[in-house]
Amino acid sequence: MKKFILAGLMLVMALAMSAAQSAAFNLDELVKAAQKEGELTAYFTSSRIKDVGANFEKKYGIKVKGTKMADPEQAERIIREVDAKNVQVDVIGFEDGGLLEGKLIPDGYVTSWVPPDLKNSISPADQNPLVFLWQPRIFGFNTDSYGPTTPVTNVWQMTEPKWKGKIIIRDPAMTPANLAFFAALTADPKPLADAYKDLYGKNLVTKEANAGWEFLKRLFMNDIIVMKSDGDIGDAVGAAGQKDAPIGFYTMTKQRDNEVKNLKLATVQGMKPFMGYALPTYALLVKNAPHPNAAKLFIHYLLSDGHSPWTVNDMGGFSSNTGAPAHKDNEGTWNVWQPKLVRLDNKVALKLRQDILDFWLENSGN
Amino acid sequence: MKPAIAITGGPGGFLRRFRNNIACLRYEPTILVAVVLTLLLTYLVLVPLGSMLLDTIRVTLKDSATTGMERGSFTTYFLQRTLASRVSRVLFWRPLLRTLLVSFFVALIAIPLGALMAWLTIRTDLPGRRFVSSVMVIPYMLPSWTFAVAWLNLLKNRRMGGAPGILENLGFIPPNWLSYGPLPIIVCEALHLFPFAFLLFGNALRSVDIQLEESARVLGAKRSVITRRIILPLLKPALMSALLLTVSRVLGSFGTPYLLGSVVKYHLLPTALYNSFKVGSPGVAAVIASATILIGVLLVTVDTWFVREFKRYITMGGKGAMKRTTPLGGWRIPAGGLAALVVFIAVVLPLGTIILSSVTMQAGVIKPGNFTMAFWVGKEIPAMPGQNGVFFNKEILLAALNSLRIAGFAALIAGLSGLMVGYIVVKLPNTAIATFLRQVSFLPYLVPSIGFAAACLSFFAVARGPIPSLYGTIFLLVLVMSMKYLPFAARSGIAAMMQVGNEGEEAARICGASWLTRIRRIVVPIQKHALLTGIVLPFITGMKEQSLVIMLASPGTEVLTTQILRYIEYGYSQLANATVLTIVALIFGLTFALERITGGNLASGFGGSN
Repeated sequence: MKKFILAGLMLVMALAMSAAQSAAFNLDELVKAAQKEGELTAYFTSSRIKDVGANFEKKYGIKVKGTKMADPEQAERIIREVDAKNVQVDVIGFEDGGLLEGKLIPDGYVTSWVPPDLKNSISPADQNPLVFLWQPRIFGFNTDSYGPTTPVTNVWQMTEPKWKGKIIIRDPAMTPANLAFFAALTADPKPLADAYKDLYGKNLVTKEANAGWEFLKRLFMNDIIVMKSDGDIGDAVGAAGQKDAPIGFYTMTKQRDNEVKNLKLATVQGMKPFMGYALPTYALLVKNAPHPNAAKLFIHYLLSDGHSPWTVNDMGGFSSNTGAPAHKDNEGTWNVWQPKLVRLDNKVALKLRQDILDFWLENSGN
Repeated sequence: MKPAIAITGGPGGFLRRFRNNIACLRYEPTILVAVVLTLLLTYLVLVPLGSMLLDTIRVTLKDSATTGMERGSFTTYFLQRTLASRVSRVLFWRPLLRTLLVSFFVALIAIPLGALMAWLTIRTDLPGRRFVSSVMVIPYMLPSWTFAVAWLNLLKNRRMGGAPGILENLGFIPPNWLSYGPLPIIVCEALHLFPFAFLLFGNALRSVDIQLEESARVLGAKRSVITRRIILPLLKPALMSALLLTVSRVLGSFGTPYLLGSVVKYHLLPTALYNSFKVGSPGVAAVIASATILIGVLLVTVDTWFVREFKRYITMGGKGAMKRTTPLGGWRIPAGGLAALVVFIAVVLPLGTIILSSVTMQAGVIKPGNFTMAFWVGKEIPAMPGQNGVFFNKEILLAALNSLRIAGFAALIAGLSGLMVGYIVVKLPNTAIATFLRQVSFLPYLVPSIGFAAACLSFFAVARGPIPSLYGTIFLLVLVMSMKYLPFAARSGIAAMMQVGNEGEEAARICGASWLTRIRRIVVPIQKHALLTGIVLPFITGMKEQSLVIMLASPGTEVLTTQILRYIEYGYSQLANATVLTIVALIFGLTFALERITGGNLASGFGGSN
């Protein structure tokens, strides 16, 4: 009984607070409250959290303890920390939309919070839960090996013997967004079926449920290679001077390393029916976090700073703040990119993820 | 003296017995200590293992998210999925088969190699045999995954991201089967484990009286007959122990198959368990962990049976034994060459590549101008955002501090409780409580490290009654490690206490000394040596522990061994290598310090886990 009263009270308070806040959001007050809390712990899926955290500290004097952490580990920690009432982390950058909408948000582990003053500059579709960053995760190749134009113009080519053992993706078992991508392909197989006909001049005959499953099966069984991070894939694909470099499936941000690491990465521009998928990164507040205001300020910062990586349209990254200026190396704005990419559906992802995972385990030679 | 405790009943009502016991407790709190220890061990060892067994049929929160089943409900889904579904081959059976296969080949290399080296150094006139025999234990002192790190430094190819290996830099691109998968796993595990066979066979050979052989020769037996009919049968117990130990080591070791197998999807049981855990299917992970525990129990049971069976071989007779070395003759130089080669491959080469990698700017590229001390003393290393060299690297220094703290406290707890278990087992012989303590304190030995960690993690991560959640705390690592190392401490505690008579304590008691005074002034001083060894050995083992801590460490409680894996995953190979060397230096320093203090040869005591 006590618990219910407490929960009720908290709910009322939360409602009251959120009502009060949206009524009169004041950035200066948020900054003051955040600075009183002193520091911030953040788990993000990208190592860039360190750079962004350092910039945030420069601007507001609030130290950010940022750790790069993959989705499954983040989810594990958040569930354990919240259940244990020993919450360490304040804010997360998370990519597993299925788990987010299927479990973490409905069960109250994390909440999505959109800075009220920025509501108008963010597309409504990106507000619930809040996406702060879009990235194309694309297939890319090595220009030293294949010249400036893409060696594959149709995704089905990657299932051919020529590319056996030469396609690298992030381990789907540890990368929920890749599972969601595969789920989207099986849920909407028509583009793949059409592309098959385009390439081979005949209709696809398959024992699998549809062209999506058949494509995945052939791709997986082509001795597909897995790596743990996009950075590793970019390095393996892009290393200069290779003769028959593999094709990699990585976030386009990795192409910013072309200069620093002397990589020769390029996007498979023109590959049909898609070049990859649109990967959202969500920013969320963790329940009962020790520094809630600093966390909010950080989310506000991610969407408004305009200088730091992520907060501007960086190479390979697109801020969900539509006012952010475009980046010259991005081969177009986000609007140009979207039709080239598969869009993930969190509900489909959640529903199919176990099947996709099993299909992956069965067919990838694990 | 009969113990003043009526634990096995007898005439008199319960109340009288109870009052009697209370009265006794004031003078003899041994029973109280025994009860407290029993409760503690039950809570720290039995309950977590039981809870994990329960998790094989109970839906946890994480699984409820992905499977849609209600949290806390019971199901056979996980058992089915792991053992009999379309993915069970991938999740369980294939890793199991591969684990057995790898163990078999590791044993096939490690045992003959260890036996041969033992024979050469003990029974022949091998040049430099004293040196060889002391260097031979180094691979065993090194953490098991050191060899995997060295292998990658030398032989990794483009299939794994990050900096290329030394051979690729020299223009030779190793094929996949050489870089990753079963072959390197087998070689690395064998290089780590052969010194164990070396020690086992060395001890066995030393105790075989050479007169047995000479009598046979006098009777006209040929060399081959002597070997087959006399030496080999006498070495059988050592052989069996070495074999079982190899399997149980491979079953519990995580680092090597993780570093060398994952790239080509070659998973063993420990990595399969870790993967299921990482993917977020705790139910499946619990089933795999339970299976590894079951196999562990089976192995130790078989081992115990063998030890009992072979007790009747008494190799040390009453007559003076003779020691004589066999001259190698023309084989002396080739044998010396072989020994030198083994030392080179097992010690010089791995440590060499690790040192080399830690001082090259472009990892593993050997050319003038590419050498640097940046990864040791540098600040703001280029291309590694926010990283300094080891001595100025906050992450590494924190991890080192954590390693020292965790291993230190765990060793202290394990050593002291081990001695207390010994004390109680000896003071209360033939009581149920002593038997219970002896057996439960031995239980963690049966459980492979990674399985034990999985059990403790799922149990202690949740607040239970007055005990808060230990998730993400150093305390959790200390607890788990101290319980995992308790068996060794308890064994040595029991052995040590057995050798001490009761007279000292009885005399003190007559003089009116309290129990605490007796422990402090009599037991501890007498057992000083045993206690020191019982603490320092787990401490050293704890410093290199990886399988046990990999699932428990979190940002803030990261230790050196887990930090190395993070660096390897980030592609910071030089920092990883420098950190490996830091651990190796700590281990060697501690070992030699302890050897100086105790004057013994510690190498043979390096049991521990992986």
